[in-house]
Amino acid sequence: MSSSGDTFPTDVKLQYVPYTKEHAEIVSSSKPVTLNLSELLPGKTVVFTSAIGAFTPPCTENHLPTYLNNVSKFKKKGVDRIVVLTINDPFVNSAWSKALGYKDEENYVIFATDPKAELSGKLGDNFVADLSSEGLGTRSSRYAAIVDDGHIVYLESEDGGAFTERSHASSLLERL
Amino acid sequence: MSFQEGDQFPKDVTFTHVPIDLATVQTASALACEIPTPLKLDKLFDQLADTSSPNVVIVSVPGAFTPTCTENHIPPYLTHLAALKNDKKVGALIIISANDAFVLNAWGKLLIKNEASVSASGDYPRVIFASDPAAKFSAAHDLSVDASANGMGIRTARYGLVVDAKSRKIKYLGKEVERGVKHSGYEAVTSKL
Repeated sequence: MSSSGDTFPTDVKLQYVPYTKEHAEIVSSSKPVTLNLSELLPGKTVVFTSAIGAFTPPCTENHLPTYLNNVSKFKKKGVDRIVVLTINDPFVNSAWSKALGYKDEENYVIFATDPKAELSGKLGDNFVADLSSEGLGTRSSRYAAIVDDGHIVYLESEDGGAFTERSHASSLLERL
Repeated sequence: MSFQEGDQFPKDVTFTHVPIDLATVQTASALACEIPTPLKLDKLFDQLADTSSPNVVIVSVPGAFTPTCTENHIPPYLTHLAALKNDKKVGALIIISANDAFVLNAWGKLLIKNEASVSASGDYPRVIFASDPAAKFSAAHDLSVDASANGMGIRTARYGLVVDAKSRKIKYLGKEVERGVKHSGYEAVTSKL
């Protein structure tokens, strides 16, 4: 399992649909692009937070808003980007971000796809959740990380789908 | 095994869904998700078998919120709900994909809000947005596509299927082999009803 000081994995290509005003409607989408972490992370402070799935009740109602409502605080603390991860495809993540009210062409918060939870799996077994019995397949678990110049400075996973202070934005803001 | 028109629809097919209520959908939040429940097609066929609208239309798309299906494929069904029920004798319209039930529910509610004009006193088919988990049902009948190259895994193909709830016979099957909605769009699927 990865811990503080370790290098954050960069060898999984993530995908996302950048927000543009032309596709402001939730059911409208443009094409996905690749998010290359080996280009994003060097020299930057990046916050990651992962959810079980787009449009699932606990993460939609409680988890993500703690980040989206505190974008200005993360910026003040010197965070360059926030990356939200789920195993949902980029179209679903894009719709979800807009449904959550995040519509900013700056794309400071990126809603990205972790394909088959590969990136999450590289962080450790407790960063993925097998929800096949519920018809949801293998998912990234709920977790949060602060990565400074490619190195992990904070990394906490929730037990199952719980949402506690471990992945709450305020815990990360305290550490920054 | 591939389906042919005239075949019996198989037993024990189950999708998962979060029910959508057309009467309250205009005020429902796309973010307020309930818990998904199984959708047993055997039960649905039984319920519709002896009604005046025994046709069950299944429309499959590779993905919720993807450009083609959102913009061209599903909206014509939703703008013709009254005609589907009264002229085409459709008792249930089921939109499926391999996305999970939460995603389909959010997508369904948004599409219905945007496209359908439903009134409280109107007579419409049941409208169901359901997950074919891991595209298992579709794959078992040669109706899936492998979108792994785009990081999307195995998906349900784009197709339209009509089942007569009483006889359980497949009345129509149209699968797209190229981009577009020529065989699975509203016009093609309802032309024989």
